[in-house]
Amino acid sequence: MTTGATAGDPVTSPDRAAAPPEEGGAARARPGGHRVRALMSRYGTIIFVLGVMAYFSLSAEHFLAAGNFKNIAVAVAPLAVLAAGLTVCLVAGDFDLSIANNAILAAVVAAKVGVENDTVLWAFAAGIATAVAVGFVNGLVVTKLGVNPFIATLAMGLFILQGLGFVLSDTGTISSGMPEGFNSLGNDSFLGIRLLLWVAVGVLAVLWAVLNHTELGRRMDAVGGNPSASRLAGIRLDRTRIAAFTISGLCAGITGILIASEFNLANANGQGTLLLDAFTAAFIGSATLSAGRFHIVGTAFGALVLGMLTNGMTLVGVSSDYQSIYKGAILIGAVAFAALGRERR
Amino acid sequence: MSEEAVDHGISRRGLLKLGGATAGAMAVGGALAACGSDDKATTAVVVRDSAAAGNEAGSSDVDLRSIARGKSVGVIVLNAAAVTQGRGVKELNRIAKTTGWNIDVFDAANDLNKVPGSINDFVTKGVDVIMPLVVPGVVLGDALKPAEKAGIPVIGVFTGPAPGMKARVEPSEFISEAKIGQYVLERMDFEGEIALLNWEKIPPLIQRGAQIRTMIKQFPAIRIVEDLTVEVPQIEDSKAKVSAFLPKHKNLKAIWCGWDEPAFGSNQALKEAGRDDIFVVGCDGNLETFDAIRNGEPLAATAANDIELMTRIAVRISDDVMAGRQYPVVTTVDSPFVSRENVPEKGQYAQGVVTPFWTGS
Amino acid sequence: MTQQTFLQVAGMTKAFPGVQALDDVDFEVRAGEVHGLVGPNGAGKSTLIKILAGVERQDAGTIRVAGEQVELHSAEDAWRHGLVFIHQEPQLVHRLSVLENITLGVPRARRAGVLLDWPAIRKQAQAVADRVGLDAPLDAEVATLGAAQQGLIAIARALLLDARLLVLDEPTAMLTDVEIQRLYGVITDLVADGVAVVYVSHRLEEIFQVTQRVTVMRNGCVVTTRRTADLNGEDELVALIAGQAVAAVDVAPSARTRPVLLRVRDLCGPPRVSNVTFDLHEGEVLGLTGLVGAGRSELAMLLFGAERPTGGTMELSGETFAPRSPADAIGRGLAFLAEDRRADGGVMTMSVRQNITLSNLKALRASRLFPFINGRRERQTTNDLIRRLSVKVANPDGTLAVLSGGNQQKVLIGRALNADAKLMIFDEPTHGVDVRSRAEIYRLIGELAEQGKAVLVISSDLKEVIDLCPRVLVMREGQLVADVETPDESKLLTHAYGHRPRHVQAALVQEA
Repeated sequence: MTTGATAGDPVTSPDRAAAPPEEGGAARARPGGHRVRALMSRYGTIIFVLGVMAYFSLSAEHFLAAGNFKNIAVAVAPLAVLAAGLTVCLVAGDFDLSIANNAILAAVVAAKVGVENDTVLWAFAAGIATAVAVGFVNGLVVTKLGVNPFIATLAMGLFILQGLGFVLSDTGTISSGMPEGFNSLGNDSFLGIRLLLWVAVGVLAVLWAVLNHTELGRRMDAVGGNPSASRLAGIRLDRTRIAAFTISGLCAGITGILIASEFNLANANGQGTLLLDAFTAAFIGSATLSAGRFHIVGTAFGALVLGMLTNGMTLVGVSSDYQSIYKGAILIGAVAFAALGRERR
Repeated sequence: MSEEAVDHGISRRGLLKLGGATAGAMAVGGALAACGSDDKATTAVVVRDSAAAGNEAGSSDVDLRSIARGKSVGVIVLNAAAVTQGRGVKELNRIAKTTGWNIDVFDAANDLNKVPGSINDFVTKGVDVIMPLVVPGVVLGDALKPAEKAGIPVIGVFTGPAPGMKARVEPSEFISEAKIGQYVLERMDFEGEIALLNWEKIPPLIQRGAQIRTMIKQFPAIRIVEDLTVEVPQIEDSKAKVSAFLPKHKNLKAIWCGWDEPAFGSNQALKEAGRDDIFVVGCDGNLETFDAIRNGEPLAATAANDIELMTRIAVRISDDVMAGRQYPVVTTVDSPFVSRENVPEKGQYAQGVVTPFWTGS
Repeated sequence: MTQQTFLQVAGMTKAFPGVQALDDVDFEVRAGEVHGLVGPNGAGKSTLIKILAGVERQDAGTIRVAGEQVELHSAEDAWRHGLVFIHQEPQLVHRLSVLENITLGVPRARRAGVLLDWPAIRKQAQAVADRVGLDAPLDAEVATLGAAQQGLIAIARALLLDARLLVLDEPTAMLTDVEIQRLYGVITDLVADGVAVVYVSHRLEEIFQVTQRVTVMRNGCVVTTRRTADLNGEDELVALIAGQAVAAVDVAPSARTRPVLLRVRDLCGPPRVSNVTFDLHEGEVLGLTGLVGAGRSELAMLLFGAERPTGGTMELSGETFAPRSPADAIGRGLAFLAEDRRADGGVMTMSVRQNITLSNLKALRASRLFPFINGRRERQTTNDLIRRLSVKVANPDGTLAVLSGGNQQKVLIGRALNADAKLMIFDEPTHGVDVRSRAEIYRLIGELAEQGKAVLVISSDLKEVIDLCPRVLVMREGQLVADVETPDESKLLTHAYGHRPRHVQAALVQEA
């Protein structure tokens, strides 16, 4: 699926007597600054973000430090995993609105299994397995029952999964009797780098490889780009979409485990703003380095941008009244910068 | 207002004093003068430097004149726009002006997952103390550990316990609800029908619910005819639910609500249905609730959390911790029972009463 | 009919990175004339058109409309000067109705200057719809209509826009002969009113039928501008365009004696296909024609597994063939090239390379265990095919969208070849393809047949069908009504219509 205008988009605005098909392999451009515009479209977001970082560096003495950047990365590690799974879904042309609640359910399952059986590894496995199953079911509902993915995953996430989380956790929280070592993944480090970060980078790397270098990734790319043409080219749409949802579920499961381990408890009400943040990260990513297409590197960048904004504003001491306003404005600015570089239609 | 000296370090005496203070507070509840600000010399208590750190039992204020200057606080709230949290932040900012303290507020925007990151950021920034405000401790888990590791004390205001918290200041939901429950039982004459509206998914509300249920259980003549869970939007939903069940219960005497918003909604429903034979109780002490109580509406009573006082105590304790003095690990600020007789003036909040439990370091 | 210059382009120059699209081009169109514009891909026709449409800006050169120099910065500018453009893929909003599309962007009648006067608008829309021969109801959703009717909607809209110069880009690509005649009628009316028409087409017979002058472009330059009547038939025009003589296409002889590859018996399916029976032999090029709406594409969908048949059987190389999805069909060796390249053919957002390998990703596997794509193998395979098919592409890793129609079609053929297809179904293979590429595609089809593959060519272009296919099936209203061994136009038309309409007969006579 793509955002924004892409070359070859046949539906146009009313007053445009649209152009005949192109000849030659050149990008469309206006005179003077064709190159600048192309650069803006690819790097505009990055440039804008660098500008914001410069401001933070100058206004807060602790911002520009390796330790601080590590903190930023660690803070958004769970989000990055969640958003990466979502990205896979978006590439295949679908929406998954159940990811946040799926992650929380995975956390609840892991905590419950962990407490009742005094195990860590099986607890994590149970949590992740639950989330994968949810993703798979989402895929089935969307392909075999033909339900609109927006509705299907919304209903699944907001209602079914949320409810399940409360039922399983009884009071809403599972925090006492957590098994020894449950919080290791979320709090310990390896070679000086938090395990959270290792996992996030690992997941991102694997998904990047899947999307860009495997058959499955290619199929998802095609289905997202043109389902009808893909079908006629022999791609099995259903299988590909189910795979996308399952991967999204898997990432949600991993995210849930990371969060549960970090806090050393499961909170059935803990989805916070994860859903919206994941989408934001993916969309920022689509405005970076690519012409409106979703991709893993961009999503990782988007997650880091979100983390950096929160961190920067805390260090600078921006009043909490204004924080969300500034955040929104900066996000719009970053994406708009890239949009300026794209051909105005 | 009984002013009794607290000999810190002796927890049992403190507890006895608690009982005395509570009874005293209730007895003199009617004599509580309305006040929202603490700029009144009569209620200021001078703390003896040599002895007690921590606040004296039974006092309704704490002296901040002697605290160190220029410290920085990292406050964490879940939603700075919420009434309770907003009151706390406002009070901190007011304190900051006279003490030269720097207050940084991190608004997690209802996303608990941002809390660990904010702790790390405050550590990076080098704040002197971290103050979670109305963030439920039960869901913080290991999140506070980095602060502990960095040697930055965490003082919780209205949070409940969490690992890594050096001290906390909060009301006791059981105590608040005991007072309200007593009122309900008496007014119902220990028999009749009552409806419960609550959302028993977070510890404060679970505790309030547990308290009222235990009290009701003692009197079999009292029957719970409705036991509902409130959904968002709180006021509209409770109003709708009450309007729906009213016709079913001709003999209903009381509606108990876990906090003020559904009490407000129930109040509206009762007014519209003209059922002034039923009374409603809430808990928390919002200004709207006071208005209703003052006007003699069905909403008759609540327990008023004195967030401002809690915040001031937290600041005081922070100062003590940083100076290496002793301090109470738990300070309970009683939320006074508020009904028609002692409801504050319009626009004012009610004043709490301090009860430290035990000291430690 | 005044013959004053309406549009004057002088010294038009435009370069894109790596290619000089236009080099000092002069182009002049007179009011009331139909001016043909021809040339192979890369000649610069579309760039010139785009500049006139306000979508591109020239590097140098001037444009004069009715003697006045103008700057065209946007589509609105072009339209305001009376320049209206209609191109081969109608740019309509598919979810809206016919009425809404016809009046899209057209200043509409209003009551009291504010409220839209729908009855008046409907009347206007119906008037122009009738004029162009559009018989679809005004409230029909455009997505449900065929390409031919969509094209007519675009032309109807142009009429409402009060065009003074109308540029038609491949207008007849999706039209049948009857509809083409209708269009000529509309054009004749327009020029009688003094409108200038620029007619861009690869169909040279149409150039001769309808234009007064024709400009030939090649490699960004104008080769010549001549009066159509002065030309010595299509051959001379082709010689001017290609700069060389174009070899006649050699078609494989009838393959009836070869083994049957696909046996179709009594095939029925949605919406109207019923009792279709035919055989397709190895090494055969079989044509399938009929009027728009006859059910040709629908039959193709059934053969290809994109739709489920409701009755009948199919056998492929003697074994039952009942594909439940295109993937099944491709697995058995079928390939399909859709009528609408943009919607059903290419994935525009993926690269040329990726499009070529899309039907056969398994072959790119690096190793049996890991489903990773071997980039080098992909590059080799695709480079090979690109060369074989003479696909003109500057960067095979760039998106498919930037290629011209003809080259996109070749890429899709490449995809089918890459999947080792034994039976290829082409639906309108040369729609929107220039002369050179068209010849190349015909040659390819011939080669495929020689290699023993079976090719089913669905086309509305009777000339093409006759040139290519020694045997032609004709469909009418969902049924297979004829299996013609030595096809000619009148035979095919007779079967397609069920009778021979008089004015088409007249046109045929005129052409002969």
